[in-house]
Amino acid sequence: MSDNVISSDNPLSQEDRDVLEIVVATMIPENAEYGVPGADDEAIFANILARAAPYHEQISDSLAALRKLSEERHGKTFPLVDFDDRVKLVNDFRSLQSASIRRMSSIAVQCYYLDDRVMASLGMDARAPYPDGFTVEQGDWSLLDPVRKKQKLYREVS
Amino acid sequence: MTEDRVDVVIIGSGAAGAAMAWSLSETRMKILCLEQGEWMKPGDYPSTKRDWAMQPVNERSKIQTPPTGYPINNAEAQLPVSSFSAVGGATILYAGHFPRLHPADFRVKTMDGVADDWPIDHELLWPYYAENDRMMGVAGLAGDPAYPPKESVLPPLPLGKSGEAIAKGFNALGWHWWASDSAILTEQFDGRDKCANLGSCTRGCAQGAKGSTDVTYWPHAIRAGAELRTGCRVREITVNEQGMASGVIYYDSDGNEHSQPAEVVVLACNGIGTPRLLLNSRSSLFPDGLANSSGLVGKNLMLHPYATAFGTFDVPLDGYRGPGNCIQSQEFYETDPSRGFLRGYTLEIVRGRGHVATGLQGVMSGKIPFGHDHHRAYRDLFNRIAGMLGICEDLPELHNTVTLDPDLVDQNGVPAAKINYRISDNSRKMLAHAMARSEDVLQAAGAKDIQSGVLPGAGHLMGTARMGTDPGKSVVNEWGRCHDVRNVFVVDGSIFVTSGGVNPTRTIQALTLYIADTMKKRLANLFD
Repeated sequence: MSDNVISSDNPLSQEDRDVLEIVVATMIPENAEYGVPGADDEAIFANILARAAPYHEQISDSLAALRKLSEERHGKTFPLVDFDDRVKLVNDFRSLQSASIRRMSSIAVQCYYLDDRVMASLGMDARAPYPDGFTVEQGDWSLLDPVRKKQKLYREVS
Repeated sequence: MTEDRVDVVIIGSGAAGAAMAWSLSETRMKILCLEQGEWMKPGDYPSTKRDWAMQPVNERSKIQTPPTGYPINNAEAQLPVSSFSAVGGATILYAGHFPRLHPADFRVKTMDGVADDWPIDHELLWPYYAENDRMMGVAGLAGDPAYPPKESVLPPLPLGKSGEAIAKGFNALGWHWWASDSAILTEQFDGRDKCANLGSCTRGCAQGAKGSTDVTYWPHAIRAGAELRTGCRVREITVNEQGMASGVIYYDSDGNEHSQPAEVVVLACNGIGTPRLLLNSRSSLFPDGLANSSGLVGKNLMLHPYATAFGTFDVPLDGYRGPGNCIQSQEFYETDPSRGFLRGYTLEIVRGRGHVATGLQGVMSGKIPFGHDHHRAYRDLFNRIAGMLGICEDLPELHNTVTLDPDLVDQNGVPAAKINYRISDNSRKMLAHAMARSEDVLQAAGAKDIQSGVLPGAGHLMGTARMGTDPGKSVVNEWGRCHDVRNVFVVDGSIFVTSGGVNPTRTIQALTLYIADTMKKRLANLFD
């Protein structure tokens, strides 16, 4: 499976990987209140790198565009910009809506919410839905009472 | 290579093909179904995987268009369509919404002065709807004032938190709603287990609780002696000198060409595949394609434009749990000219959104920012989004067509289908109305941040080989037999005269059972 790419085989350059780590940490930072890691957490980032490998050209393009935006606004590369400015950069960057930016954001978000600890913080079991499934309550069927009193809604056909 | 002759060859193993094979199998005729796809493996469905919520986003294209599918040129289609090829066809991926047509849906010309009337009526189909319900296992609730009386095979799907919340919105407005009829088991039935609320209905049901025909009709049909041959892509229907079909030509999965002789050919390839095959079956006797003396093969394509509306609630809802199906409303189904359009729509509630989808759509829409505010914003949306889809009736129009693409071909060199489709003015007004009324309901239910739109695609394929009694205005007669070629039948959504404002699968299957029954009663003079 193409997702199992070891670090040394990853087509992203080391420079791109280093910047990407800071980018995803800015996108989704760790949070003590909710007890969750950031997207740069070792396990999550390894998954991001693996999933990003087939799209390395798009990811490189995104990082180049982000680099350019950072230089234009702050005269510095992205890793050297302070956190709050980095947050503004990635949010403005995301709103540019190019395919490569969407790809990078999509991979980061998906890998993050796949993590066991993140799912646990949401009250989810870290497992596949099948075979145990989930519970949905029956609900209050007396809510139908007003509808039962309605006249027929369909038209008769002669 | 020429295969042994069969009595009936059915092309396509989806909703219609499976029902036809099962119904005819009691005759002990030699029944063969050719399916270009393969059997799905429920153990491979996303809901069996730890990363199930991620797979549909990255892997959807692989699940929906496996290599056995065929290309479709959507460049001129305002609503792009796709096709899925496997045993079970689109029932593998559908949500299992299973409403019936209304009586007036068969009399659109008489009742509303547009389109045409069907050559059959709802009374004729009613018992076949019931028979199909017993085969598919349909959950629902008797007593719906939107329909003539009908029983339900199984209890309804649970309301859940989402159904309750939105039902209160309908009640606040005094509008109709009811439990959705769904081809999803709420009890053990016919050797299958009930729904486990996996939340992945549209990516294949690993539980086997959703009524896809690979687990409903096909086991029975095969036990009764029908043969299902997979990996077989039909190129054309062949004809003899008398102008009757003599069989089909198909390619196997290795690309080898086979000739399959048959006494009767049944097309069950959906509203795109069927006209594609008929148009590709040209000969000196049928230079414009088989069964096309009316010129209507591939015309009157109807797709069901969908309105959408979703809102965020202050309380937790069902979220990633449960089938998306829940409740529906037909408050605006029957024609009321004061609304500014003719015909109507069904509002089908969508129970919730998965946890990864919540993050993705939230980030892409800007509702969930990056940075420290990400986590709080995400949790404001997680399990709190619900909404509805509005299935709008699509009127038949000659300029909405399926033709053979002049350039694009599939792996075997068979021309692709080209779609030309524009949303009509009537549909645009209906979509606007559906969006506005959906917003009203969500607001009345207490939702905020409501967003509505039009679904950028379509999956219901109808009208392209319509039924009728006049050979000049239809492709098949009132029991599905082609006017021009009396041993060729069509049983999929192509034969719909009008589309109604409901999902078509239940009606497709009821029609198929009716046509199969008629064939069985007329076996002695089937070609007269």
